[in-house]
Amino acid sequence: MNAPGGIAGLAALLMLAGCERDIHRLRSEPSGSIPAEQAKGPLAAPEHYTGNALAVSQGQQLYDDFNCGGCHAHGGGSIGPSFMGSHWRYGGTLDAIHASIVHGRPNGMPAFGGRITADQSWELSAYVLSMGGHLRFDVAPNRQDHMQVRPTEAATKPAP
Amino acid sequence: MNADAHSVLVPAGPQAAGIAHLWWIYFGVCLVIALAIIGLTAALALRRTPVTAPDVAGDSRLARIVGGAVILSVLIVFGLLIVDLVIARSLRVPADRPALSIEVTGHQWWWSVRYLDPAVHKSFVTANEIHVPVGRTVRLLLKSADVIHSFWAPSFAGKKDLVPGHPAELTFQADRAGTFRGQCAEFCGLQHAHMDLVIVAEPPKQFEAWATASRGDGAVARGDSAVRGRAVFMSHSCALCHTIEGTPARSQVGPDLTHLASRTTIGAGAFPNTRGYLAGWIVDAPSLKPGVSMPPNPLPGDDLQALLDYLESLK
Repeated sequence: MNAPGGIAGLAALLMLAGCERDIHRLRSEPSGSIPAEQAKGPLAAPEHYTGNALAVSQGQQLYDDFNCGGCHAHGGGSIGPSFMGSHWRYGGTLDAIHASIVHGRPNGMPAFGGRITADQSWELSAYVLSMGGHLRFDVAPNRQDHMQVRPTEAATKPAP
Repeated sequence: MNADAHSVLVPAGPQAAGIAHLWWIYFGVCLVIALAIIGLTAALALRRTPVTAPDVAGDSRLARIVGGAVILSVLIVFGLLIVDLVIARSLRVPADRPALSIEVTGHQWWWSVRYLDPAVHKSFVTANEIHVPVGRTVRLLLKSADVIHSFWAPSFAGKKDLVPGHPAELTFQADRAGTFRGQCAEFCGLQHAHMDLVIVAEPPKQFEAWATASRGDGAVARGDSAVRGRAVFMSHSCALCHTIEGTPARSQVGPDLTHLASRTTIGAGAFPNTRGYLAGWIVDAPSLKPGVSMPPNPLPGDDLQALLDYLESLK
């Protein structure tokens, strides 16, 4: 490309793409303060979670904290369904996953709404998506806090 | 806590005393050398007669002086090295010496403390505060739950990193009673600077009394307010992250609260453990310590007061 205009343009583009990824939003709104809020329709800005590296990383930490692996293992599923296949029981969208977490599902999925904050529920939803390889490689976590039993989320390709 | 509670130069045990000795020896030697060099340079600078660059190779007297200085420097450096090795060797504690074993796990940004015992039912868990008996070897097993932290209690020993996946050991002994301070010494995130430890060294009888009390379950709620407070604790999201032994709350995401009221600080040394600070912490911890995992919990006034009554009963 012809410098300097081309390089500057490319740099600006890369910086813009990286902006959302690196924003640290530290404050979660209180849990259970407005339960109805969590049940509302599509999130205004899903990229605040699916495009934000800290949010997905927090989701990874929360996945272990709240023992999601107890039923879903490390994404491969156990007594709970897998997140790494192409078939999703209730739809593999961020909103459907969020609804499962907040309201629970029949046959054993507990309802976490009102117990965890809204931010935490969206962070967990984004992390669940990353386990199937559906998030951008630079947003998905590339390090696990335990023995590695599967490719990292950043290295996972979505199932065909 | 005064400055002597966390000073490298005010040791409270043999390991820290060895480090302090080493520090003073190095300080003394370096001070003498620095004064000599400054003195010689000043003498040179203040000469009235002009100075010409010396011909070291040609002048054998000068060559002997320079050669002698080089040999002296090498001897001093190796001497300091030997002093270091001798002191370090004298501080080593044999691995088979019986010791009180405490497992310390670093989290962002608090310390989880588990007292180990060969009789497993005698183990117990606390957070951010370590009690040790005076005169007994203490062996810390250092682990991390997330990123690299470092355990540093300058009154007792040097720093030791807590590396995730690589458990380490740190051995020390307290030689006198008192309350001392420790802190995290490896940058671990936003609140690295607010991740303190309180280390209480006490006579063995007092330590045993504390340990026995700590093994017990959380106090049973007595009185209407505390009973209501316990119900608030269990029905809100508190139980999702905290443990109170003897209750259904058994999560290990956050610090163990079984004997919260016996601790002197909250938030890993961030604030004194008083009713006011505790209320502020419960209601809005992120505004007090930005970035913590504990979310805000706005509670109606009555519920908050009842919860505080219950938590204050957990001695």
